[in-house]
Amino acid sequence: MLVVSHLTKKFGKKVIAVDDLSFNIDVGEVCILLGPNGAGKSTTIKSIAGLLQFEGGITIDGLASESMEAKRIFSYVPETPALYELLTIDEHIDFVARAYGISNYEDYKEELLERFDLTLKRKKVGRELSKGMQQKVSLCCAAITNPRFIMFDEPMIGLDPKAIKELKKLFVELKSRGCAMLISTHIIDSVEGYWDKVLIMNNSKLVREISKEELISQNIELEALYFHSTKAGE
Amino acid sequence: MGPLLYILRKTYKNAILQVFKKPASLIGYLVFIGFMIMNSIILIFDTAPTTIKQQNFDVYSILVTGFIILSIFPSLYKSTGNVNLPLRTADTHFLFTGPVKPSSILIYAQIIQSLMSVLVALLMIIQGPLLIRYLGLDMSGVWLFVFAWAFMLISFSQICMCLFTLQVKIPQLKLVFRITFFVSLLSVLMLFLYGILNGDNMLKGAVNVINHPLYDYLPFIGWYKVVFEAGIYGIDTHTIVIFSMALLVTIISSVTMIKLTDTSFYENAIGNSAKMERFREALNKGENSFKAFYQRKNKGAKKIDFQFIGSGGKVIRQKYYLELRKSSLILLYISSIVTIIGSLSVAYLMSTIDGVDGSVILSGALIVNIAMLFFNSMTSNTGELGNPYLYLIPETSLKKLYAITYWRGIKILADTIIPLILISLYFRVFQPEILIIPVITLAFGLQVYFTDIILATYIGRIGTLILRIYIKMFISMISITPMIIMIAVMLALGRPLTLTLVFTACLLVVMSGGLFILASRMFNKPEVYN
Repeated sequence: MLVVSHLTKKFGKKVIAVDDLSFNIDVGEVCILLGPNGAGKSTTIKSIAGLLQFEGGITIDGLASESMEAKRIFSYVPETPALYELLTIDEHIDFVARAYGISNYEDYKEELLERFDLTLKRKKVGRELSKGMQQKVSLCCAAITNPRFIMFDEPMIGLDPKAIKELKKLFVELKSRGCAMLISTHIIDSVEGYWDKVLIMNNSKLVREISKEELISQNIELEALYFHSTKAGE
Repeated sequence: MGPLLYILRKTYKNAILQVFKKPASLIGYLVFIGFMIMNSIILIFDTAPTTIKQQNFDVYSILVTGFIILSIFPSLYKSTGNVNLPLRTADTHFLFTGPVKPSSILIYAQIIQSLMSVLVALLMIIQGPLLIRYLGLDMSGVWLFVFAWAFMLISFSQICMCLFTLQVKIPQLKLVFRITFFVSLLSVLMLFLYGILNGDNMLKGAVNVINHPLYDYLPFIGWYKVVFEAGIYGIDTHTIVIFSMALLVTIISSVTMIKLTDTSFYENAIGNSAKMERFREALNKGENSFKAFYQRKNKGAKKIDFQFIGSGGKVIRQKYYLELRKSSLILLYISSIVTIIGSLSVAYLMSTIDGVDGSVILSGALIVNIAMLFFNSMTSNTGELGNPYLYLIPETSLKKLYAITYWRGIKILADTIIPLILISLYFRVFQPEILIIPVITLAFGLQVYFTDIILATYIGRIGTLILRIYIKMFISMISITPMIIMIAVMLALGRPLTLTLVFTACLLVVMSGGLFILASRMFNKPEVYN
């Protein structure tokens, strides 16, 4: 579904934020992107989302990531929710549905609002919402498009326990529908049990790529592997 | 375009509804609308004088030309590396990652830009009475002036965006554009320098340059000047020809930009929208929003060895001192340096005029100094009050407010005392009044600051900078009315200036003291700032 080949992102001439990164994610696969602060995770995700210019190639379902066709099938939940200050929750979801050309989304919208406890707040505008609420709206907007590939950048931050539970359920549902996922996170415990593949980045490079089966067969804990790969535990 | 127009429609509709939810904003907007209505009424009933001096037209043309040159060249230069679109982070998130064509996003951004430009142009109607009185314009002339503003802002944003798109497509053009702009600016400056050196005086020399028949045909600077002058001289064939040229270039720029654009402007637009968000956030917190916009993110600071001594309010005061040392030049802020240099420059310029003695020079410099202090007070902010630690530190409200005001007071005193001392020493002039002036400026500056705090504490915070300045000016004017009346009465009764100033200082000090006590009560309402 996602193929990243030799992705390099430089800021100016000196700063290399992502250095020659290559990996792929298959249909229905959940890939976790781990790494210490400044490792290049968010830059990688933003490059895939088409928000940054980069060197190398990125395709989604065989389509160039910046093409309209690719954008139609993927969604992105940013680290910091970015909502329109003067659009209500309802209007945000309606806008996204219209932009993606989705019809008959009303029932799913109601379901998402209910699951994330947003039904009563649906007429509130973006600037009236707390950061956690904004994150929930961001999640709803991403899910409403029924994406085939979705990226989450630190999705748990700011969410209450119920929303975290719902988000984990959403991961399972999306996976069962064949949606590929790339989740960037610092909280290793939060993704235990959902992932199929893990990518560990350090100092702008991909230092480890391992599947769950390989990890189990080698009898290593994910946390131990992370600290070993990034030397953060020393 | 449908979903994008949906955002615009809903945003403007909700913006109007939101105004009614916030009493402070509503009052602010009502004051502002009232001011605009009052201005319009003056415009309708105001009549132009029968004779207008030619010098007025010349000054208008020079001011317009200066403004055009100062706005155009920096914008042109900036457009070779930066895209200036009014997009928010929500736009960059939803639109850039969604299936929306880059050209549609650009059109959407240009619609927002155009609406903003029209709004700015409409605000220019404030200048209406001045235009009628000094240039003899009628109502249609004032509207042409407003149109000229809107046209220049809209047209120029299209041209800059087109240049940016072109240099993204063909990177080699960046250098070509930069060299062209630099050479053009140099040529224009040389042209004016030549004109000034060959004229009877600076004004006449510059007027001769812009009145040259070929000047109107110079791209942008000549074209926009003709559009601005249409309100005075009327619309004739020459105006239509020049306007058509400007319009044609604008249309070609828009079409080129839309045809050529792709996703390559996204990264630049994201950086710019992040800066705009920092600007807005600082504005909402009452911090220095321009500093937030222009200062590089994660910028370091000078390393200073410092040890806090004491506790409570003392430590708060020392924290401001530490910050001042880290961010200032020899304990002077940039605004102080500008104020001091401004006052000294005026003094120097006045000294070059024959027959002007030391006391007149001192008065002139003082007027400039007070005007700059007034401007600084109007645009100052209460950003530090958003820091929760201020509310948590165990100290009395009065001592806390004294601690956070202390260095502000020192700054105001320094801004007035330094130029006064330098001018007095250099021109060997001493007047006893200069001992009282710093007290007056200090009391007035603090009065404005305390008024800002009181306003926020009792009617809520006003997010819009312009609106806040208007309200502050309005209240400051009311608060200094007793002082003005007292000065007028004392001078009318023939009392000496020194005595009048002493009374003025006393009155302002008493008023500032009262406001200080009232403002300290903001510590009882921490929710205003947190």
